[in-house]
Amino acid sequence: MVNDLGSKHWKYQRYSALVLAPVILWLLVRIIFRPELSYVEVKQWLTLPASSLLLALTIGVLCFHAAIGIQVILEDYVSSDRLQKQLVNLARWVAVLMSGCAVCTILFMWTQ
Amino acid sequence: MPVKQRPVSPHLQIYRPQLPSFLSILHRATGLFLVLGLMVICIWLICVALGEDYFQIFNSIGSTALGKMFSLGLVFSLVYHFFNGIRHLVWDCGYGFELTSVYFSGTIVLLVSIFVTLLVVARIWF
Repeated sequence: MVNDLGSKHWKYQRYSALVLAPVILWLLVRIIFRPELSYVEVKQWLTLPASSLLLALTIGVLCFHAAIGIQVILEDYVSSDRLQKQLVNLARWVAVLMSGCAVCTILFMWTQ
Repeated sequence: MPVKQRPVSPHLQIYRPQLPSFLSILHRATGLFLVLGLMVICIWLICVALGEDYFQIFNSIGSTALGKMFSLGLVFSLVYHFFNGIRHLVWDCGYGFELTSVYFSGTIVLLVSIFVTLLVVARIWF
């Protein structure tokens, strides 16, 4: 167990899942009914404030959900306490870096 | 601190193979694979930002045999993790714990996931 209470993570994992479920549902429906995706369309979509904000938020929540999920797996299977903590920290850093990278990329597209 | 003596889960080969445990392991495996997918989405986003040439390069890598195998795995992971995640949320609300319900919902989730995966992949490729 790393630092904090497991029940808190349990709840956060479920809350983030509840947030992500409608987004994934929308994505699946969109792909099934209209699988084409041209560059112009993507660009246009990403220059709308609402959709780019939604994408940034979604990637942020996804990274959060992923970091908790990996933490739970590490807690279950890595018996060395020290290694477990290091790996959990690594997972958190990767998650933060990844969402930061996505947000920066979206912001960069706004300046173009 | 008693924290240091916490037990870890038994390793996977301890369990006798059965549908619920298989689905549980699959939920974790697909979750892990989706992290890889998340990284690919970030790379895709960077390609979009870099311009149309990079967007096309990304697409052409995706349409190679290896790229198609990867996206098939990714689509199945997403669909399965989504449906089985809903199954987990229903459990968290306190429903569906009888052994027959567990097997029933598990079978439904697996079949629906395979069907939706094939549908999505067919729509992307054909």
